[in-house]
Amino acid sequence: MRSLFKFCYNQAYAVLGLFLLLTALAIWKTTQLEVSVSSDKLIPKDSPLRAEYEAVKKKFGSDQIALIYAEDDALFEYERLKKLKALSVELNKLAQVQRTESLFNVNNISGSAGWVDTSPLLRSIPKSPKKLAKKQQQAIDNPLMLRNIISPDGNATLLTLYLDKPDDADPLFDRELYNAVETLLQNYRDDFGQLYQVGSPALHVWMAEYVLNDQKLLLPIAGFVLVLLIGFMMRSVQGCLIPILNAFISSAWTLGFMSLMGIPFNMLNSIVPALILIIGATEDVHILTEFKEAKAQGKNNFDSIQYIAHHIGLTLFLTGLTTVLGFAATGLNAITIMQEFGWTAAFGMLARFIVSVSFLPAYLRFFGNFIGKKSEISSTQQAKPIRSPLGDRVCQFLMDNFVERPYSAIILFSLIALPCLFIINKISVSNDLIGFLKEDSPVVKKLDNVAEKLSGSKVINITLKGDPGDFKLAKKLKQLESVTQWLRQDLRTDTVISLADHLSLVNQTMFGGDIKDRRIPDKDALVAQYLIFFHRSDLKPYVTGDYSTANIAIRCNINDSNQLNQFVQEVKDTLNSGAFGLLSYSVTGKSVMVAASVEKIITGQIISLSSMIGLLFIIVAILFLSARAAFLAVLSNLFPVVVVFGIMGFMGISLNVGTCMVAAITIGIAVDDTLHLMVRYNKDLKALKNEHKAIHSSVRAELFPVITTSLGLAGGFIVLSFSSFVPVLQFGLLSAVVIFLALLADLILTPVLFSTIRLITLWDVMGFHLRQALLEKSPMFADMTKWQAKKLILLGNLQEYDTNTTVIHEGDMGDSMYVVVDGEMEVSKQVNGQKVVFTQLGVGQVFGEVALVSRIKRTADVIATQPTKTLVLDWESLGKLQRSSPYLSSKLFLNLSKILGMRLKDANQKIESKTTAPFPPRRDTQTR
Amino acid sequence: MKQVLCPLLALVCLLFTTGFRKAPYLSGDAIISKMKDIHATESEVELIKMVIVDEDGNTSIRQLISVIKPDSNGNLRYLIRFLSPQDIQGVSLLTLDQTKGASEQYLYLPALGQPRKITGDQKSGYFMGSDFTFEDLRKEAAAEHEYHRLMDDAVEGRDVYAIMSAPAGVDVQNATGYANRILYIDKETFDILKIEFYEEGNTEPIKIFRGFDYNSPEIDGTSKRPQRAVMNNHINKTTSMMIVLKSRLNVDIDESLFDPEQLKSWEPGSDQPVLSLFEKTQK
Repeated sequence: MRSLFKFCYNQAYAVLGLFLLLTALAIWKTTQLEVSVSSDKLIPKDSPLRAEYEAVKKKFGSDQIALIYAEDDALFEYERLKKLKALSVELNKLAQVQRTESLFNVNNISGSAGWVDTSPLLRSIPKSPKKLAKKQQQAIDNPLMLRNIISPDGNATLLTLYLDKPDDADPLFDRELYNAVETLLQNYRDDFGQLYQVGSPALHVWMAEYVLNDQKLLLPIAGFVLVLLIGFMMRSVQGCLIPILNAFISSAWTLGFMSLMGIPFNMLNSIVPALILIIGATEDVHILTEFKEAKAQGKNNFDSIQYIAHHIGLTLFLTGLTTVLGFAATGLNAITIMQEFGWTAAFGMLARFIVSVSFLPAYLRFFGNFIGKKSEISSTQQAKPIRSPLGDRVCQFLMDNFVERPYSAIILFSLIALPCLFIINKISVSNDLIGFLKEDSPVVKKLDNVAEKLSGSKVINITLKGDPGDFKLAKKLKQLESVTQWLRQDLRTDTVISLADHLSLVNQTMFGGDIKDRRIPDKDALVAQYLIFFHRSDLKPYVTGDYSTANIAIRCNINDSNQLNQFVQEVKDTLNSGAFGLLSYSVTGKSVMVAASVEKIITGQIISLSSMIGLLFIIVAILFLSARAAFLAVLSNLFPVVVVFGIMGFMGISLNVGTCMVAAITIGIAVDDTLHLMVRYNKDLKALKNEHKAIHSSVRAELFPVITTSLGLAGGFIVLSFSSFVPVLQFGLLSAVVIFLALLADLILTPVLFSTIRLITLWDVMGFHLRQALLEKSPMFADMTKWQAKKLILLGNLQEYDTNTTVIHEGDMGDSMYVVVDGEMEVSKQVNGQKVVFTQLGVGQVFGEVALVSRIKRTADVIATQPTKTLVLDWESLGKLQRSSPYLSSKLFLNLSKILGMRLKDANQKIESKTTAPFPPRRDTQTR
Repeated sequence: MKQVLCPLLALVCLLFTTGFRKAPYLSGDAIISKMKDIHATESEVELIKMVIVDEDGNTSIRQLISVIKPDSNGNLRYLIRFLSPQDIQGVSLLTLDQTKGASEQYLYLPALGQPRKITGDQKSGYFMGSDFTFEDLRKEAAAEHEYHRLMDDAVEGRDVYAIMSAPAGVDVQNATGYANRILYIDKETFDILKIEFYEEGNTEPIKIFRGFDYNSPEIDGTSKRPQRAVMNNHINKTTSMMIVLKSRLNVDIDESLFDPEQLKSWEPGSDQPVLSLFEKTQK
């Protein structure tokens, strides 16, 4: 990191030029970015239902519909109907429209004296009000038209446009159709009480507009929060400019990347610029704070940059890595919209990191002087809150009540988390495009009005399969009739239409119109002869040309995917039960596929969360060389996730494409503070040699930054609650809750957990110079690799002594043994006021081991004759070592027992030879 | 000046001596009338294959006989009866034109056992699942329409009269499915080569009829119909074809065929007398 900072600083012109060029290219590419909202994005590309859906669509026509809703108290008036027909004709001409269904072309199966008329109700519009009233009543009485074409009161009607939308449709398909329809509707709006379009194209266009409107709202608010955050932390106007500039460049790159990769702007990835602004700001604040501190110390711009790299370079890298991985983990989902969000956001965070570590050093070369000008004042102001009595009191409170009494903290957090674990299974899962919108949004109100007066826009096809000609047979058609009637009785369905309805109506008409004759005739021949009343196109949505497959078309307004899945399951269970005979069937529809994808949301949640936990575990385990530390870091960061899942279960917030991102993303962000704390703890531990003191010191040092960055992040996430989309809103609020809970965990749980272990880092071990002689000579490190020996020394109590420092005083009570890791010592004793040196201790030699076995008085002085490092071992540190690294400590204990055994042997020999020398010769150890 | 005036004067004199010959201009009504005269027969019996192709290319084939004969008042009577497929064999539609332009229709479904009388509105309904409506299958009813000749045109390289046909009154207008039609009639043979069907408010035709191969040698016998009549339905994106396999004109036809009461007496094999007409050589 230091080299990168140095390079970017020295090559500032080239770096700034490159950034300018890349950003300009990105902006140019961004102009080609499309805004697209589609339910297709909620369906996995490999959905097993897709093939069946496509097959049904091919056989029975599109289920993608646009609906034109027309309502008027006097709908059935000649002039009004004439206008409606003209509109219908114009709509039917649109290139995107496959076919239309309206009062003017849907079969009105009626008749008198036995004759059947299957021609449309209003093929021609009568002028007589009496005839029109009759037509209106006919429409209401016709089950093929009621709620499908006409409302029960006869004052509202739907023109249904079945769309010819290929899978690889132009992204502008919906927009073009919507605009074309709107242009036509403009000419007719004055003729009706209400006239508007709903259905998938309109929904997609409206939602795309919401996406853009959200940008106009979220970005300024996010910017405002950012300025507040930085203003509070840095009290520097200049400092506010840099994160905004950083966010601008990163956002431009991200949007350019999206355009390049063909990822459209949608309701989820549209929040990425706001996230870049908020999350990126915290990193920039860290960098700028360090920069100001360096400037306050009188460093120039270059040295200040180096100072940043040295102090927080690694932390920056780690936190950047975890954040990027957190977002990328959300992309590990089969649902397209989440993949697109995951990759977009991960790229955005990566771009932000790259800008922070390369653009910023170059930028600060030219503009760094402005930031440091009021450094003394700023640093004083900055320092104030860190040294505030309130901070001290809070820190002391945490230490007294939690770190000193770890069980109280663990019980408290367990009491919060455990009930949440039991509520988690109550979380429902939801995946529905309309469910993205707030209930009071104008779009939902329109949809609800149409659903209430007529029918919902969800289309479900239940397809019954047989052999060619089967659905010309009365027996098979009676089965179809039974299923149709059963479905129609279900209050969740708005309209249910099948071939059975068409034939039943013909039968009713042929036998005089009595309702009891609305049934499938008993004779196959009669069925075949009834069918000649229908044009093939009349029946296409309901039966295949060879009469092998029949389709029951259902329209409903079930916007909760759980309810839709439940409905589909009930249908399947009933059909499987054989209640209607043996049937081969399928239940399909775009809405069915979308609802069925809830499983993918759960799977995606499990994958992203477990991936993030796994990555966190691996990163911490590698960096801190301890599985235990990794486990504790995971435990600490899982707490907020568990609690937020509990909150979701308790409050009935469903797991959706928004809320299922909360866990992985917030772990990726929240772990930053944990890492900051762990790194600080590691440093303080090395300096203070005592876990509790180190914890106190590190909590005190991190209290202010952790609180402010957490509050800033939580505030940033709360900004997302202004979004028009419910999943984004929920994502924002829940993420804010997680960040807040993570703050509590970082200030209470993390210190408690880490106070029980010693931490060393990968770079500690790599940077520790261990003399080869130590490994070769010392019995304490026998059978250990250099890496293990380094780790052991760093985990233990490594003491450093200057020349002439007395390590052991004669006569003192001692309970520790020592291993000379570096340097040299002498063992001496005052005899008659004269210093008598008994022996010299070099690298690898062990002394004071008897005191470890039995607390005794020291019998001689041990003095460092040059700068010396010793590993000090007592039972307490051995116990901690055992907990931190059981495998390594087992080797240590083995070696220790060998050493003690040798000492015992030497002691026995000494007794036998009546030797009185205080220190036995160490031939055994030195010869090893 | 003299050089210019002399030839001009000579040309004027020549024109006066030869005289202007005014080409006879036929009105729309006259063209239709002439067409009807040319195509008039005492009776027609045809064996027709009907092919219906939907937008997915699925094809259904039916075979039927069409019998046309005027009554004593000159009003045309039409009987259409399906011969195949077997499940619709015997399904019959009898149309009896009335003097004042109205008509009576009867449908007989063998599986039902009783013929049903059709109300007047049925003209606009599609015929037996094809793209032809009942009115498309009738002979041109001149009394029910007004004809306006448009600019002459050409179809398939043949010069044609273009005649716009509109319903003659409100009753006809209410009964028909079309706002108007444009008929393209061969100037030489007065065969209908093409008809465009328009709905109210729609400037594009909803259907187009094309007649191919009049007097085709492939027809067993002579016919006043095209050997292939193709109806393209632009709304449903479907096509229906009527292919004349056999045809006999001016043959003796049993009057009982046009008796609604006799429709129910149909049974398998009872079409033999009609079919035997095709065994006779065309007069």
